[in-house]
Amino acid sequence: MKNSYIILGLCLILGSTVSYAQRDEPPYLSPVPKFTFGTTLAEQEQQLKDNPLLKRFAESRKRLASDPYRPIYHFVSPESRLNDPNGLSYWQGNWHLFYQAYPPEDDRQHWGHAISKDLIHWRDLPYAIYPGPERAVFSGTTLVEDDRVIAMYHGTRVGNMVAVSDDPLLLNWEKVTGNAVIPIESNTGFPLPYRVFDPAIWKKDGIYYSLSAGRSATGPGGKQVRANFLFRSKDLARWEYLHEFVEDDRFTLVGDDGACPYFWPIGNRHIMLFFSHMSGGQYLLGDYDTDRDKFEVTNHGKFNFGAAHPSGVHAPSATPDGKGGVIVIFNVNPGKRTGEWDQVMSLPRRLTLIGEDDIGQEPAGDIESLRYDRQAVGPMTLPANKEVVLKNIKGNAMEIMAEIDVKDAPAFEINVLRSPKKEEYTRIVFYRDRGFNAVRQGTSTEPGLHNSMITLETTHSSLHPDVRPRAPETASVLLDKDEPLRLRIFVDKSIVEVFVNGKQALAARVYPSKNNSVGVSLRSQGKESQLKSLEAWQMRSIY
Amino acid sequence: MKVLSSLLLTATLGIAALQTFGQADSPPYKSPVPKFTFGTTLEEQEAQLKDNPLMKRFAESRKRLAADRHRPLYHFVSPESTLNDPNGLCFWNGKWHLFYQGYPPEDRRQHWGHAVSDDLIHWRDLPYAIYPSPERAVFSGATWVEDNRVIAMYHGTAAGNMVAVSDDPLLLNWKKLTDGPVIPLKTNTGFPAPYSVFDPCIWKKDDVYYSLSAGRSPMPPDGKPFGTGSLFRSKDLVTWEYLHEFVENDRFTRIGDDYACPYFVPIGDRYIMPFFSHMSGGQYFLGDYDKDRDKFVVTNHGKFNFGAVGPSGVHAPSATPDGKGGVIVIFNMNPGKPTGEWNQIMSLPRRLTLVGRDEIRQEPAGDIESLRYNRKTVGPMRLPANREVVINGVRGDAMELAMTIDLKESQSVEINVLRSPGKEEYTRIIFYREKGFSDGLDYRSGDETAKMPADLVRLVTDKAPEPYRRGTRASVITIDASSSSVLPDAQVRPPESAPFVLERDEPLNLRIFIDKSIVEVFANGKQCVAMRVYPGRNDSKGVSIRSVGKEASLQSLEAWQMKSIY
Repeated sequence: MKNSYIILGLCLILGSTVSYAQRDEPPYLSPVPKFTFGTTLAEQEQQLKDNPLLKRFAESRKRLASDPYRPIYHFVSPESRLNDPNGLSYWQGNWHLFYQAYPPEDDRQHWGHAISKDLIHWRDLPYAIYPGPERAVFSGTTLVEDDRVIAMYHGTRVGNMVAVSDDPLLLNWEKVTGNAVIPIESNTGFPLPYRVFDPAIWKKDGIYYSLSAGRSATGPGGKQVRANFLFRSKDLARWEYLHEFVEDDRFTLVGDDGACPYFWPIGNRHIMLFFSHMSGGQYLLGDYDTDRDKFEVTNHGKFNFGAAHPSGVHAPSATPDGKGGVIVIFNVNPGKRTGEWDQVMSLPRRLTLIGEDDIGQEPAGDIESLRYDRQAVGPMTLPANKEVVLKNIKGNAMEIMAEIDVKDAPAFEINVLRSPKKEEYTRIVFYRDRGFNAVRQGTSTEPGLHNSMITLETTHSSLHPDVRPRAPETASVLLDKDEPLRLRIFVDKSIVEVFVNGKQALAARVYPSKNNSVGVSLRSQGKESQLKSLEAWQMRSIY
Repeated sequence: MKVLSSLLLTATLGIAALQTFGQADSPPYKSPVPKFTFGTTLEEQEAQLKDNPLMKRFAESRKRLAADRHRPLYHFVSPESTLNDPNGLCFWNGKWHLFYQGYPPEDRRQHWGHAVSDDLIHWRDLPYAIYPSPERAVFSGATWVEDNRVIAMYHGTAAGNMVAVSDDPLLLNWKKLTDGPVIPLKTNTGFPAPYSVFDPCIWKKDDVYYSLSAGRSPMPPDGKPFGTGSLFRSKDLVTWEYLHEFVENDRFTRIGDDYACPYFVPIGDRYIMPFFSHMSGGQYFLGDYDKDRDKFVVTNHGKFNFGAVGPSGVHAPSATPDGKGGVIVIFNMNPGKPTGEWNQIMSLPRRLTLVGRDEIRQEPAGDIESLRYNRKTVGPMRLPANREVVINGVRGDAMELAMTIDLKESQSVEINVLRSPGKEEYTRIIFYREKGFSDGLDYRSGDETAKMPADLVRLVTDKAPEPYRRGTRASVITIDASSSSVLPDAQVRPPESAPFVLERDEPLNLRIFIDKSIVEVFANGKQCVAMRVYPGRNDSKGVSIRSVGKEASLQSLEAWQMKSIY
């Protein structure tokens, strides 16, 4: 299993595959209890009250809550592990989050399901999509229509599947055709010109379009590069293959793939969010040529600035927010065994188009509702080369919001989850103007304008022998000339997320071993900096 | 193209600010720097060099600058003023010749500085080799060694690409082939050139000369700037025909990169093109030279710099074949702190070799071992989990450290160098086992996999885990200089992380070269990271090791003080 951890990108990670003998063959039916619900909200709520799965979930949550590494305000599945988020959508007044779930009695993927009014507080619902005829219900997306929600996902061993639901809480799902609509096997005897894997679905002019994720051997020296194959359909049942969808990708790396794709409008442009099993969550920004059915990309960005594993941002699930933006949530990989659960979801983020070609990122949903016990520091001058430990600000489920004028300091550092003697600490380091010079279409931007860099480093986050440290993760952010550094740092037991000036975000899992690793310190390297303000809040549990 | 060339110009001039020098800054751009003509025999040349005023001036300047605590002892630094790109590295008449962008104090336009070495380590200064005029400044270029002469091809600003030749024993006398550029900046057709004219390199194939000219052009997507290498050919070095873009299959460089300072040399049975991006520093393409189509078909790419070009990062290469299938390469290293009249330095020379079909090895080149003295050894010893072990008796700021570490179950080991006893200053070198990229998800279909991605087979079939596959996942070596210096004017480079594959049973082998204001780390002959650092305390000389999470074993550590090459 250790080897597989190294080799595998997806799914298998730290858990073990439970053998379930006779079920592991067609029709691959699931032993997990499955229920059919009424069609009105009143009926559904009534039925959910006594639902055995929900009882089981509540008990499991209660039991797992004592784990010191289990986040209290990030979504974690009620039982067992989770993997990719799937089919994020808004339907009849609720946000719906689906995810790759592994029910304890059958470790094949089922779609887990939770709903929220505010993207922060989540309510568990029963598993939404169960295996059969597919072996496992892999990742996919949803398309919301007026009268129904369409899920398109990969069904292992069979191909890409479509399921629909139209009830108030999306509890009942019916598979269209009862089989794969894009089969994994060629029926012509010739190899398929495409890969059949994670799909995305959308609609244009009354026609459905779908992407299927993969790679193609069209890179340098026949190496594998990202590919996303486009299909179309009038009825969701029969699909025609068109071509590779993305044009002008000079951004992704040799070895990347385009797994878990989502394709949505953002502002007056389009964004394709996806997951590379090599380099994690990322996006391509561009224009949808609706005549040629091509996505002409002009920019690219990452949600993960290293390898997908360990402890890194994994796959996105995204949906338009109805206001020109896109809501996205990610699973975040584990860096330590934590028993029956391991991965968590990131905070939801809202992406918006900034200018023509850049993407802004901010925490989405009503995160402020969780704040209590506010503490504030500053304004104060941070002397050069002296670590200032903040006296009243401590915690491992916190938000910290800070504005710093780093002035000419060569680097500025914030440590969180810091033990008093600094045996353990997680570093966030900002380097003003130390990234690539800024480049715009065809010409340079202002001469001398450089990206700044921010690093999240977890090498010293834990003394625990079982923790897999992540190499420092460094992301680029372009600040205007007089723009101060503005950080929102979310600490939640085993995850740290850092939002930088609404323009960039980084996240990693950390596993401090000491109970007193809850401190916060600031340090200005080389020269003094000005802490303009710092506010910190303890965060309430969403459970 | 104008935007482009002015951009490149600005970037290249970078740190060494241009001083005004009155009437010289207009055609014919004559240089006020003393220039000498030397005899044609080695004997004559040596006699003339003895009394050469420039040589005297260089020696005095070296003496004066040696007092600077941040000036390296065993890395090449120009004798006076600043330096920039190395140029035209070559082996001629029994000596390695290093040229470089020199900025004479009395005329800070680029002249080609010049030094020679028998061992690639000890360098002897020679007078400036190529002076401006008709070009405004003598920018970067490469050399091509023939039996009876050495050809330099370089960019002459405000003119175009130039050819100069020399055939004397020490390459002291250079003659420009024509009165003007051989590839002019401006076309004579009234139409814009379909190529860019900038840093060239030169080679010969079947009696025809070929030259690459570096550039950057708007390309899809969206007209953003990407690197270009325009290929030319010539029968006589004077008249050049433009052929086409030389580099094929570049899926590696990023928007904003350019292919400056290109070198195109055989390595093993393939070709390598080391070059410099003004955005992301020194790097290379590896591939095959399609001699029928005159194309470089790229299959791989690697970096010498893992962040922005500056501050403190690896800049441009100069490279030449070593005659044994390998390639010798040297780089200038950008400064991270003002140090008066000098700032940049050269890296140690490295030897690149081809491993297997598609990988490059990197090791220190030349007789670096000749500098070692006062050897200390440590180990074998246990490195307990999470405890920083300060190595007693191993201290210095001009040192080589060679160590072998068995990580055992540990995932990460951290070495601090240039560490002050109170740890106010330290430079971190951190190794992360198998924390880099994997090969990604393998989507190939197989008979047994029901056309499932092969990596997912076990999930779907409960088959036994595949045995560990060689080269599946890269490890990472990081240098972090964020605590290297308490000085207010020491700029800090963000952590630089480089990937390399460490086999399962392979211990970590590091060779760390510390020289006043530079740290270079060679990892298992497979990767190298280097950066400038500027400790401010006199006691920042210590070395410590720490194993993260679990214990590791230091199998051996050897440390040497290093002699000055000056």
